[in-house]
Amino acid sequence: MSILDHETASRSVSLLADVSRATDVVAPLWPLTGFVAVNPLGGLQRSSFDDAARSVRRWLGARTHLDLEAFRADHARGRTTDTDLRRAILTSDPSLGSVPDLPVDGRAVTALEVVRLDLLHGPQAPAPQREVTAGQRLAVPVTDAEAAAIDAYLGAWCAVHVDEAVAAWHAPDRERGLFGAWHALAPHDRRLTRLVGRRGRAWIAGQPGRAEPGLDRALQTLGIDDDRRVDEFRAQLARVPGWAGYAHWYDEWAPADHPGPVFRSVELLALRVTLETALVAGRCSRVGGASFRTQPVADDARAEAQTLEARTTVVVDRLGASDDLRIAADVRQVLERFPEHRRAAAWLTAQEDNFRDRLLTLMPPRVPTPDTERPAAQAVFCIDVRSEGLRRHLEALGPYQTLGFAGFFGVPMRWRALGSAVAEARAPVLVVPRHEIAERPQAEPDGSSSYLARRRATNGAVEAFHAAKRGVGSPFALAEASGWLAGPVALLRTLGPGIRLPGADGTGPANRPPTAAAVRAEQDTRSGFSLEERALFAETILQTMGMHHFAPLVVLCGHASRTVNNPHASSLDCGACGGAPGGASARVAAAILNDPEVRDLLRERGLALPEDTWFVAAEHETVSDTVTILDRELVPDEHLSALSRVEHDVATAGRRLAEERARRLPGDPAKVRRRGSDWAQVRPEWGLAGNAAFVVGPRSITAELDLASRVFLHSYEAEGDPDGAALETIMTAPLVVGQWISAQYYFSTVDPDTFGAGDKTLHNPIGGIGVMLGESGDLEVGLPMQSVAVGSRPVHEPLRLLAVIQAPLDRIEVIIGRNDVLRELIGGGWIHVVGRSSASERWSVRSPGGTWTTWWPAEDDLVPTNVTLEVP
Amino acid sequence: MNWHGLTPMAKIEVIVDGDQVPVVRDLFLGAGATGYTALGGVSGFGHSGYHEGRLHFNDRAGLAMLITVVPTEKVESLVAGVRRLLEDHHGVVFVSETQVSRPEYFS
Repeated sequence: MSILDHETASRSVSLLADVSRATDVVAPLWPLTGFVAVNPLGGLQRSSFDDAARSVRRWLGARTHLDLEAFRADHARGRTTDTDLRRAILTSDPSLGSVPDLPVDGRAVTALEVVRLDLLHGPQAPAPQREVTAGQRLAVPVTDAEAAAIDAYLGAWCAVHVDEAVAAWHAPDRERGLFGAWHALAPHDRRLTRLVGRRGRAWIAGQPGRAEPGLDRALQTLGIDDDRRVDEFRAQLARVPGWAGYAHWYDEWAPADHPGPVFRSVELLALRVTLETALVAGRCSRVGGASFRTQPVADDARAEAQTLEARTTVVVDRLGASDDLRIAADVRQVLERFPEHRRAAAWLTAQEDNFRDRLLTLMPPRVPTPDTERPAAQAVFCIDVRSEGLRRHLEALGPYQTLGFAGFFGVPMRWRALGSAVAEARAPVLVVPRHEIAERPQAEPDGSSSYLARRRATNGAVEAFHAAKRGVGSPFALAEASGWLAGPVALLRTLGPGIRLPGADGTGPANRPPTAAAVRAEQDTRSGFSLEERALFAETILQTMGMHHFAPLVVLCGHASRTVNNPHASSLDCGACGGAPGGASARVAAAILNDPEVRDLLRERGLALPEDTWFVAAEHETVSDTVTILDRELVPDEHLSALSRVEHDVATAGRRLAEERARRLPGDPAKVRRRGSDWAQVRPEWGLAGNAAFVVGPRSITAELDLASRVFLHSYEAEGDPDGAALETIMTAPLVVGQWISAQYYFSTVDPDTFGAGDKTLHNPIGGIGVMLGESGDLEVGLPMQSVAVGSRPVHEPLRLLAVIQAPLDRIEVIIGRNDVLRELIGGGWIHVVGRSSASERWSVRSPGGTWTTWWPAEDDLVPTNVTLEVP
Repeated sequence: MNWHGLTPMAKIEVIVDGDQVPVVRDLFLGAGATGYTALGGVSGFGHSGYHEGRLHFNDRAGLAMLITVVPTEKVESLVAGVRRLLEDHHGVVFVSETQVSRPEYFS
């Protein structure tokens, strides 16, 4: 290798490192087939919440809190009290209490009161401006319209390139990556001339066709030195956060066998920077260096200084003070302590404290009463907030005990459904499943051969239909040939939403042969778990939940949400299953726990399950609140009557929960259970909207409480976990996933334009990976506005996640201390923590720095009977 | 010291957060490494305190160690890239001399 080659390689590797550093401003965006809720600021999680928020205000121009008007409207509705506000102000600036009172026309006014008046009445500073790219800082800058044209052009190329399974014809040269493919085709693209001019196009033709050297050359042309590279990359990525998010996912999360085309962040950056450089090169002979402005355009400080004067005037006016300049100066001095971000932070803290006070009031200290009677049945549900209502209603109907556990039931796997060529991951995205589990017919010979043959035929017909739709001329013939059938079906679906059209092909659920999950390892295949692995999974499931007493029947209930005409359907499925239905995981876990060999091994390890205990799988369809028992054929006869009772009661519980949900959803309450099959319905269900807290502890501390489907519930018994292993598992996995979900809802609500996916009615699915609004532009990120709001009224209360943990405080502290992820999330203020060692103690609040303080509510008159968690 | 028949090379070991493994992998490959080994669930104690080992249901949270062996002339570019990455992430990089029996595997 020559010296020149070494230098090129060295520059290329450093460039890649800087690209990776820059991607922290955008969250990875999972393909829609497995939508995963993520913290949109997750890349900045090393920083505190406040610092990360500052970064995205700077780079994305994002709002990171509700605006003051919204906070004030919430205050007027009673979501916060004046006491909450005062306490939050002092939390935000503890030294404010020691500021001497202000003399105001003979009265003494506290600094606290000045800030309170400002929070309630002061004007808001203008929205933050994002940093701009190098081209936009030139003496003759790339205009906003030109930058937008570059983004649109880039988006069109990305959409062509990423297609995973939709287009009949793929774009050529995709194996070269986005930049390489574009560079090879660019000479034939007339739109490019319109965008960058003939000179710009000629400049592109002279550039390298590979991403790294191409990007390096463009940066050099613009005069951007290595020290400013990361910032420039951030500004460039922020122009197209959707595509940048998808590239971020591809870089760091795509499975090794991902079938889609190469789409690295460096490719995306190379393309955008090259386009911008070409545009500049097209109109002047020399760019870069001295022609850059030195000041960034974003200057929140200047805008804030102007607002400070207006804020001062309003507060002076509210105080009824005279025009004494000295009073105005004193007020201004106090308000300077509360710049815009601190005002918003104080409001947020007030809302979070109010919610915490209400929740903890519902869980006062009490002497625990041991369970003496064996329940008729136990039911284990996913920790998902949507399970809470079903558990509550089921427990009210009989001697049932319910528990909460992550909906993949502790068994990471790739699930290959009967007749499917693809094995899909069923695990949180934090875990890479290493085993495949196949669904097999229960007995041979049976109807499976004919079922599979029918299924193959149906799949072939469906594929042919879609191929005809995607062709160039064939759609016309297809419309002629199939319109007589498709037309009436479309009419029926439109006029009669909720009607389930019968499958005429014999592949519907009623025609499926009885199947089972093949959990045992098979020779010569990669399918199944060894006995030791199965036993380990069983042990982990039971010990993590602290499950030591067993009913004769234990239902493991996963969840799913089946909706039509909904590109974001997987966002309503089980997050713990990687955005997939949870029934398969429940089936596999039940099969493991019923396995006699596993039980023998568990008994040897001191974890004996009663011989009469049977685990049965089920699936809760959250859009209709129906529960389906799975693998019923495997249930022994002696459990069938108990199973019938459970089925009856869970059906009743589902009906009651649906009625409860109907009150929160707009539209006809009578149709609440049919919304999933209505293809015009933009809100089939609320999903996890409203989520606010994550309780880790025994069910007894939340039993009989109406938690309004706002709380993740993970079962945990501290007494049975002296080394904290189970608690560590809960805090480092389900709690982390809960925080991602919480943050996704939070940011989709506070800034739907930046962190949300916009209006569902305008969604245009692209390439099987995401949606765009309309026919070009950026990929949309986050949740659609219909998932978090009705019109302009948010239904999700954007709060940071509150973890409520019943375990010895020193145990919690040790676990936080030895796990970076928890040190970052909890120490950085992304998650608030309260804890108590046992049910008989008062709760304590943990500060981000690790100090525990006994909790007392801000309002003295809070009692359980006057508290509700419903979003006002 | 050269052992008989062995070829001198450089061994680079990088310990980073589990979620940085794909990034370091790409830096290795971008610098011309022909392969690497990744060990997950690395535990220990160091500059930034305690680091727990393997977690039950989180492959990304713990530390990971990536090891690669490259001809010495590739070390500089590779280390330069890793050091830039470590400006924003905690982690360490070790470079040491090593010897291999099949040099064609590594260059």
